[in-house]
Amino acid sequence: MTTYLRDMADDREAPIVRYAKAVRHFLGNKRPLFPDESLLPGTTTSKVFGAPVYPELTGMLIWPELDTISNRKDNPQYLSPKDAAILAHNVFPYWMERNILERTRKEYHDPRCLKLFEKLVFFITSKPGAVSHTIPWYEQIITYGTEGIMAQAQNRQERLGAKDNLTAEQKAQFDFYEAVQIALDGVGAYSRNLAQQAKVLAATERDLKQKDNLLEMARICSTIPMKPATGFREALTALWIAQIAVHAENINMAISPGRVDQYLYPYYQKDIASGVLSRKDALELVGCFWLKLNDNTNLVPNTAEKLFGGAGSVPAVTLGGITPEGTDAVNDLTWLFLRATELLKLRDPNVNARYHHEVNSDAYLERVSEVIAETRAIPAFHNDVTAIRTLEKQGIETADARDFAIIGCVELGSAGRAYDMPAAIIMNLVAPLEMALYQGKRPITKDEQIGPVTANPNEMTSFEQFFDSFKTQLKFVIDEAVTLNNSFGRIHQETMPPALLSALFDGPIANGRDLSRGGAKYNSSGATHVGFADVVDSLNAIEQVVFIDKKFTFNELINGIRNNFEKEKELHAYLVNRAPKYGTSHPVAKKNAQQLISLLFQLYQEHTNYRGGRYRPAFWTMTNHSGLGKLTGALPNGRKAGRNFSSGITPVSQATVELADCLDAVAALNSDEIPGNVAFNLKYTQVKTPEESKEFSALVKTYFQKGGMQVQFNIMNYEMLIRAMEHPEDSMNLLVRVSGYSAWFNDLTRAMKEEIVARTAYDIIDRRAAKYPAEYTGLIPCS
Amino acid sequence: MKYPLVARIQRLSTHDGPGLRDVIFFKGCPLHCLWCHNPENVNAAATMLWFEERCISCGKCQDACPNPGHSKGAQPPVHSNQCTCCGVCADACPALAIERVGRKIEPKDLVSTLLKDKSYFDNSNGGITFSGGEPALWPKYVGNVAQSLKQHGVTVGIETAGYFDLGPFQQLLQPWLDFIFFDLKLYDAKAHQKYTGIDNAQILSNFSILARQMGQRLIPRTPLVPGITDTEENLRHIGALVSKSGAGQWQHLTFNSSYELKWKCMGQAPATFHSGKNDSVNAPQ
Amino acid sequence: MLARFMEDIVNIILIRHFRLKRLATKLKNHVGGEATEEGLKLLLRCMALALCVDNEYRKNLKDFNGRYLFTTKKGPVNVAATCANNKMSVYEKSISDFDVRVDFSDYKAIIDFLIQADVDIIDQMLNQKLSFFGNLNYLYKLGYMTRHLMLKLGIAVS
Repeated sequence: MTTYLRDMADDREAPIVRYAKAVRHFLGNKRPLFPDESLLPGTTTSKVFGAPVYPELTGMLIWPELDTISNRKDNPQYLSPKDAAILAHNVFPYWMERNILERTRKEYHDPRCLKLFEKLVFFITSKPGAVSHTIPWYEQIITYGTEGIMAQAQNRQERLGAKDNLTAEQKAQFDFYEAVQIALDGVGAYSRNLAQQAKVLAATERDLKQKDNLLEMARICSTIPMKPATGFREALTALWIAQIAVHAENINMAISPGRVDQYLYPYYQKDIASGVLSRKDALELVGCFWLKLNDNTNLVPNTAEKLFGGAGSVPAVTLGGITPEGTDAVNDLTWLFLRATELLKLRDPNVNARYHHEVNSDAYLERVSEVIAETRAIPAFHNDVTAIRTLEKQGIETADARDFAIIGCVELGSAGRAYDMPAAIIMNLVAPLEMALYQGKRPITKDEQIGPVTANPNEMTSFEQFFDSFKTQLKFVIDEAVTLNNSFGRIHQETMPPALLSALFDGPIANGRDLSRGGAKYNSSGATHVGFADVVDSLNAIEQVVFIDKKFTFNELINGIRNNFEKEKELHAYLVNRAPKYGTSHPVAKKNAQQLISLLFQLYQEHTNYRGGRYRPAFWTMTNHSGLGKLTGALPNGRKAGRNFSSGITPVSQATVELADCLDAVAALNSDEIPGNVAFNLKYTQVKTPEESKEFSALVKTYFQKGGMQVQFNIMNYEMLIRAMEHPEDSMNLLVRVSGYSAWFNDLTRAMKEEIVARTAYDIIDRRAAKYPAEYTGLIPCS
Repeated sequence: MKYPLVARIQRLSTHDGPGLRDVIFFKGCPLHCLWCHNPENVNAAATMLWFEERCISCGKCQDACPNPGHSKGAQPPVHSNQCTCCGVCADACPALAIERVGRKIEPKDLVSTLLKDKSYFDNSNGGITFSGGEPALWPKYVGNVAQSLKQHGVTVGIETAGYFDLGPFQQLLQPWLDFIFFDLKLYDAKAHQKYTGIDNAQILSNFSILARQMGQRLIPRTPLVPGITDTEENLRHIGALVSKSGAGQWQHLTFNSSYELKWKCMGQAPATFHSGKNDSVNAPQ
Repeated sequence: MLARFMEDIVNIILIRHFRLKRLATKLKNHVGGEATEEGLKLLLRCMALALCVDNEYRKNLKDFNGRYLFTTKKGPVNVAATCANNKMSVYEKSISDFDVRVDFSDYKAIIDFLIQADVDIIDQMLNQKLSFFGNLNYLYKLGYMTRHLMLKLGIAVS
């Protein structure tokens, strides 16, 4: 890409056209690889399992590590010295002034919001990665082929007339249609190269089965995805090649295939009916697809392991739920995808099961539960009823809302129609809490005045006064984050508009605008939050202990947390045991939890993003809750300095003894105010017998009936996890659920492993927190 | 109507009947089994428990105790044998290391609390199980609650040791029960007296009568206490009794040593059991 | 070829290899000892010399004009480095018009930046040990050059 843009591009061309040509150049020159006996062709990178470098986006983060990334302790990624030198001397220098981060800085003259972002402990944004976290409308390329889409674009371009007579707006549309055709042409070029290479390999292939396989792929790639698919294997191939192609232009973060069991079904059904395909063949193909989705991961700097530990590229697939017409969407292909998941037990794709408790069958519910019990971690469950309603309230038409799929971790979006960018903002909720305690400062940034100077807590006479300060600080941080995201967005519009991805969406071609300019039918940005439970419990503690019980003064509380409770044992015990906890039935806890949800919803929905969409709050955390927790001092809920925060929307580890209370509390949160969805992590000690599996299903169904949005599981007890932590060599295949995605336990940092160990494990028999091993008490946040 | 004290409500249990069940533990039991897993429920009045691992030795319990004469020197104060179980120390403890077990609940309040979990019951064919202690000691109260629950469509069960007056039981409680878990611990009368403190004639008689009336809905259960109830002789006798009674499938309950913790929380040394020898039990001091 | 040969001669005449070796030892000792403001100056001087003597390393300067300023919150470290015309120059003073200004929280943060064993630039930013003003990409480049140099000199632990 760099070679093209630096050496061959015409700077006079519109950015969208220039970039589309770079994509075409890249795809045309991309090595067509067949690294194994997969039934699907091609690879995302040039390696069997690779991390693509996007120097124009965030790739430069790796520059300091080029010599050491191959040998680093956490998540080493092999880079040859030759490639390292190319990056250091040929590629990165070109982008030094040109990547999104730098362009934004210069354009907006070192804005305050950028400086705050750079501290990394208030909020971060994935916007420097441009477009990611979305679900393309792959159905389009399968149904029409690239030639069909190109024809649509050409048609519209011609209707505009000669370029010289157009207004500025129309010229932009003209360029967009031009770019779409160019980029899609590149996809065709890559596919034809694949066909060619397959033929070459087949000629010398001695294994007859593989030879046939290569010849078949050669046949398919000579027309797919240029022409419409005519069968299941062709459809799946088109889908996979499209996924590769999209990654030529866009960063490999959560580009999610969506409702694969829906749009691939007609092809599957046709081939099964005609006898061309057997279920066994289909399962084999699906398995290949699952493996292909695992062929790439993110290129991340060393420190990223602390915040996004163990994550692959998290492409999400979504199964089940209901159709746009409201009927049961579960079909034969759904069962097949579940079977592949159960057999392969992979980190990616991130498999999600939509479940509608009024329409989907109990058999489906129980089958998904079985797969979770078998894999101990996947898939995650999503509640159709709450998801559809919360999207409708965001202005999504009912049929489109029913067609939602999961993006990346847990986020909701109408598949192929919505550009939702859910990781636009990742906000540390503990930051404004501390700023309210310390009048606009935080211990980690020492004496720097970050936010407004709010009232001195020692002079407060009511909890409402403190909550007001917290609101002020929260609003300040949100405003900065939103301003920055909108700034990045505008720069992105001007520099790297994604023509290819836009072509594979429902909306842009009809509207004549690419995704970054709001071409999708629906637009939004997502803001997720770290430390929800810790903040709620801290608010509870302040309200109950200082203002209701009047057991300790605010001054004593703040001194206690400053000292990390070194001498304040009674205060600490009181905060841990007597202050109300989110995840229980205590009215103060329920009130504060809901109040925070409502407040965030209200503050975000006041803002519009640069594409005309609203901001949607969410609560998933990847491993930010661990990375940020390590850096933060003690908190009013009794959490000690340096301990992990809680993950997603989950209550603080070991703070909620009763599973029933925990489920009730999380389900009670108003889902209409959480359009971005949640990650709720539950741990059960085991689910072995058929009875236990049925009870497991019953709990999920009831939790959803009560309004819970999402739930994901780790079916493992403390002892098993501790053994895996102390003896990684014995647990190479242990897959765990982190906070919205799955990871190999061994890939996680020590701190993150400890966080998973410490999560409350509910005993399958008595539904209460299982006994926690005493020697590891130090891992519990509030112990 | 006499009100039993409720020790606790365990929600969504799976070990006390089909599906997900809320289990209500009542205080008061006529038996004093050496292996009791809920020793704090034997006493019908309130009991104090002290959780050593939570104690931070702040002394607030000592300061709060209204009877300083007895509490001084006792560590913790609730383990002194002059403790009146007033519970003031429990309120004063910042670490929740002291618990006063046993509170009075109005039947209608208990019912409405339990009904909050109805959707869990409906989705799992679960319901309510009464346990304790001995719930059959309170046929009027428990029957009242059970009837209310049945009217709301909830299935109701009971776990009993079998030592109660049959008349009131049959009249006030049995009509509302969907199943009974009936404990048969020891067949031999002398052994039963020795290890549980009472004779088993009433128990065996109640069992036979109720088994004929309830059939499969009465499920006999035997806890397998090493060296005491798990002997070949005992199991043979009980097995014979069960097989001609018309009762449902006989369940054996495996023994686990978690019971020891509760005894220690009460300040008493638990008995220990060894399999094989009948007289090998180390009784508590 | 000839140009390189001439360069080698110049290096020998100016005993740059020898000076680099001596400075490298000084730097090594400094990194193993107490943190002071010397660390940064030593690093940059080593870097400047290494850029002279090592052709491969000098590729980093190709077409590169960069101006760096360094400060610490703790003490008066005002060190600057400018890259132009295939050469790096080091100054013990403040400069205006920099591409990036790197602010270390204290001298120890400088040592961490030098060694970067388990601690990298982003980690230092996360821990508030290092902040910057200006073009972050220049800082990344410097980070690469630093680590590369320290590895070559056998000082970095990685």
